[in-house]
Amino acid sequence: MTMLRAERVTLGYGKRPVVHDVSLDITEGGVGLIGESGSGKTTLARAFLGLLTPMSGNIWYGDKTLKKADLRAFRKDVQPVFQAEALDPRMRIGSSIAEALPRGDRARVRELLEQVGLDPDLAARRPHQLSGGQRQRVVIARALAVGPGLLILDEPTSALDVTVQAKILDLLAGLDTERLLITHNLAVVERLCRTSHVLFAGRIVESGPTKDLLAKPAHPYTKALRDAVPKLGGAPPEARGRTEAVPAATGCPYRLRCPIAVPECEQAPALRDAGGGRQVACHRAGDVT
Amino acid sequence: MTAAETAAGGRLRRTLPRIPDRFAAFGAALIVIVVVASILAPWIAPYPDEPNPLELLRPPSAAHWFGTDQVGRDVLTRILYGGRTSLFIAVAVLAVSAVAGVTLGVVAGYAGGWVRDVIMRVTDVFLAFPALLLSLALAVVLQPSVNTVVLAIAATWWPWYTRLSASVAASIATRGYVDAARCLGVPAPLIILRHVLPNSLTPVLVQLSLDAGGVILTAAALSYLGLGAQEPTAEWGLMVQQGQTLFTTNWWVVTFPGLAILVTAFAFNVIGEGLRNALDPRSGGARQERAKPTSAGAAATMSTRVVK
Repeated sequence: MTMLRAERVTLGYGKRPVVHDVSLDITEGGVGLIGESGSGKTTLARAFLGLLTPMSGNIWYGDKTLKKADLRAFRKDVQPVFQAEALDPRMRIGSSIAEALPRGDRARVRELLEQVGLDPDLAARRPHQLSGGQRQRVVIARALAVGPGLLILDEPTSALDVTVQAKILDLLAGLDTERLLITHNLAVVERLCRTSHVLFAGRIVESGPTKDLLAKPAHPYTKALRDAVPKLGGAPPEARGRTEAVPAATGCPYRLRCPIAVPECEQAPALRDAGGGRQVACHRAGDVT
Repeated sequence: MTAAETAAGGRLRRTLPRIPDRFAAFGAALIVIVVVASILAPWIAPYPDEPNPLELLRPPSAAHWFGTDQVGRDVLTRILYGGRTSLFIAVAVLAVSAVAGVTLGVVAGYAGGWVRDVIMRVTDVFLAFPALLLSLALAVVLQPSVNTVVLAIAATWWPWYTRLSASVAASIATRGYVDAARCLGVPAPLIILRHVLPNSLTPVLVQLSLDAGGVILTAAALSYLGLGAQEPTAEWGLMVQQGQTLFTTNWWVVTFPGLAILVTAFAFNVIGEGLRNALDPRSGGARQERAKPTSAGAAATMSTRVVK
């Protein structure tokens, strides 16, 4: 079942678009958005949360666009889990969670803290008195307070050390909610998302089942992301192509970095079906090894 | 390095971060002294605040600690009474300016778009006038009095608070917790009151304390031009202006009221620093608890301070 759908959405700030003509469905089993910083992942997430109005295209919630949807129901159904500054530094933890509850139900605050594996007495603390992992659990507890059907997780573990990351991932994996996960951490996506979309320069360059996509990338950018992950005991990752080059303004945005670019890449490739539920936007998809 | 030296170094390191707090306590003590002395002026002043033709321009002595002025009034007595007027002007101007300026500023910063454009363009119009000239114009239109001074200065002071709080509020409005509140469906006025305003106040409070001395001096300028406090009302700025021609021959007439302004402005300044530390939960105020400070917030609030 599709909970949210972006239909040919272009997003930007002021008059400058940063996400171009993107279409994607948030379906059951978890959806991952992968890409480097500045690729438009968070911008897309903000649009799905109704915090950013598309310059063109529509975000669909059920059978209605967000403009026409019942916002009260939408707010109860879709909640964010941000990483950075997600808790008001002046508010006590209990008050931050109670903000999501009718009449600030304190008993429910304690239940929620227990649900995310925290001591209910932490409700009296302020964010700076908690560790990074505890803060992230509080953010998850607040999001769960309204009983959402979908969590939009924006880099939920990026600032945590690996052991804490593992615990937060266990918590997220055990939740009875759907999720859109935004991250540059491929291992996290592999664990939590059945489907993934790879974003580069505000465009989807590859989509498909996460396991297939990571096992055999069809786009050179996906392959570069996968190959950049350091392996324990292995040789350091070797970068290929001009990894610092800015996205090309015309044609394939990745062509200035691409190690297998050809003159044909000066024409922008369309996202086309690659079989097995996969889509790829690359003229040389068959040559990626 | 010996153990004793190491221990001494440790003590020094533990003590150094507390120095600003001690300064703030010192500043607060000074302000308390000035305020209490001003309130109790009728009871503790050594002389009545009246001219005495027999005591003209007496230098400081056991009888007149701060000397007497050109009409024979005891300068210490005038300073005690003058504190009432000067402090009232400072508090009233800053209260009016802050309430009006911060309200408009946080609304502009949070709302953005055309709301921000309208508020900030009106603010720019007020800022475009030379402040003293605008104060003078208002003071000329209204009757010369202390209340006129308050209104005239506040009319030129609020835009600074609007500009300051708008920039801070615009930054706060992009924080994750504000987005989270929006996603929970919390109404905009409640988000402003609950999240944006409290998190915007620290630089404003610091600025308020830094501005107190400036307000007192501006009030003095207006009084000098005959548009503010009028004789025989005691007011520090007025005393400085009236005594300035006597500075080379009778230094005490201008020096002591000047020192009163200096000490009060200094005290407000160090209180401002202390307030910044105390009100930012990520800085020293929470040191005793299990603090894990994130420097970004503190740096952000520090960097927003503006100098007029």
